[in-house]
Amino acid sequence: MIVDVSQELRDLINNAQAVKVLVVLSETGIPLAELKESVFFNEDANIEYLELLEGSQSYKNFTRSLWYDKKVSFLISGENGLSFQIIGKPIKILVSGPLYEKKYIGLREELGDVDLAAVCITEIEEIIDNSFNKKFEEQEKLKPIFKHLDRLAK
Amino acid sequence: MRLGEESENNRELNFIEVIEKYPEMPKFIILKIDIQRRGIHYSKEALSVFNKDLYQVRGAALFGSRDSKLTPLPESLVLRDGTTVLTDPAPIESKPYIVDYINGKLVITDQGKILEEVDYWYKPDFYNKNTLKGTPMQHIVTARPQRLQVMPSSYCHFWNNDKGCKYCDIVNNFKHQKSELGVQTKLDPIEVAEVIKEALKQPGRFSSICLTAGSDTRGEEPFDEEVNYYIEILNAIGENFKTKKFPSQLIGTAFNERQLRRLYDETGLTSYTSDIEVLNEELFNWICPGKAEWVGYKQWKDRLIKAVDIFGRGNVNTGIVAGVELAKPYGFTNEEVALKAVLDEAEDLAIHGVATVYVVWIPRPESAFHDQRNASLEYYVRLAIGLDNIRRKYNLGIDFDDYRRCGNHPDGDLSRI
Repeated sequence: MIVDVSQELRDLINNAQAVKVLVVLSETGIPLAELKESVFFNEDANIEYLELLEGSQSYKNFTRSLWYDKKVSFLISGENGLSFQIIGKPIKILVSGPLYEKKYIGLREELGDVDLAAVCITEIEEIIDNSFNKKFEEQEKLKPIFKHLDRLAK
Repeated sequence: MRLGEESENNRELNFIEVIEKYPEMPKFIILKIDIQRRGIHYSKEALSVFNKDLYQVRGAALFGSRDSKLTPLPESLVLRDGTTVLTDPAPIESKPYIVDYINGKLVITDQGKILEEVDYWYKPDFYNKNTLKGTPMQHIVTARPQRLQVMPSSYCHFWNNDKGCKYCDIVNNFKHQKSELGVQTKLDPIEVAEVIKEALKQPGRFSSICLTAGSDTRGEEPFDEEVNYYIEILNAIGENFKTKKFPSQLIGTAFNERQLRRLYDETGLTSYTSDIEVLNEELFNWICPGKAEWVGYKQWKDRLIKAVDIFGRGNVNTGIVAGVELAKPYGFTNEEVALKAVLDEAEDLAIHGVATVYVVWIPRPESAFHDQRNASLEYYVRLAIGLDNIRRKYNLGIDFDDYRRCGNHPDGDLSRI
């Protein structure tokens, strides 16, 4: 499935100051959130994140999601209330090969003596723009009944 | 009786049916097991995209292939979840899976239906090089997607008096490889170290080193020569590392406590495997007469247990050739009974800190069991689930022999989660 990715989101995800969170379901169905610095769009317009810890819950849960066809989501947020929720399906885990090695080298150049467990790839199914300004404008326009009366008082 | 034959359909379950019956088992691993059971055949189209400059070609190995040829085909496959599938070509008459290239993707198919995407193994950089002595480096050390494999000796001394394991073709394969590939009988530790040094120049390529070879019964005490040689090679390899210990596995004979202590204290080795092959004493005596003669089943188990005190819990395991317990005429005749027996013995070892992992038995053409048949897919799936459950029950990790550091144990793949 090809989902349009706005330039605004592309710029945000490449912004080093953006906050990026991966949410995956645990074995018992609890959504668990973890900050992930290395999250990007790849050339196939899928989301790629670099999992640094072999034994992490996020890696186990991402693997589980791939194995059992569960979805995952990413929260990408930045300044001025910019916020996007990206929902997708894990499609690939790379633990070897040229792309994996390229990411391994790049990661270590950036962060020093760290390791790379895997390159985890998610196919995007839906992008929800949860940016506050946009959502508030929508609400004001489409749901005027949600306003407090004092806001309308003379 | 094979699993499934007791049901209304009176036949074992096929791939799709096993997936439906065991939803808790990832379909990637069920597919891996069945590919290993049945073998593969590469279509013309699949081979048209097999670039030998990029991908690994079948090379030196301890055991032969099911088509008993050393043809320069792809080494093996990897699935899109990172699962490694060690498999080899099978004659088309035996109805193997087909690796094909359809709509720009390399896929695995069965009866014309696409089941999954696959990829070939990428060739490591050192495969293009020779040692200072002029030996192709890939004849000395072979590669899996994340593992370096050193096979110091391609001969097993249990075959000296024809007591090699009945499922094994190590000696016949060694003869083929020597004549057709020029693979050496015994490796030079200095050359091994040279190759490892070269391999380590490729960042991110390798996570572990595994040493495995046939047994060597010689020495003041049996297997002393084998141990001495491993120590020599491990120390040569160790010169490449900053730390004394490095992620490594030795798959060797069941050494005694003194020998195990030497391996641990005198080298950088971090884990130890000694394959008991079949978890039943009577069958062990029949199928592995050399192992039975020189060590014995009970002593094999005892030595594994002693190894835990030396290498530590989570660093010792044993491998079995799963399905060989059903070999005719003396094996189990009922898969349900066999499964229980194997899992009971595996649990007995786990209580003492020894994990059990399995490889799918492939009746090799040049082995004594060449005309036998491996177990049903359902058997292997239930065995994988059973062994994984036992390890979880006893909190026994197998990081050193898992999907990344080995890749040949379907049950070990389950430990990823």
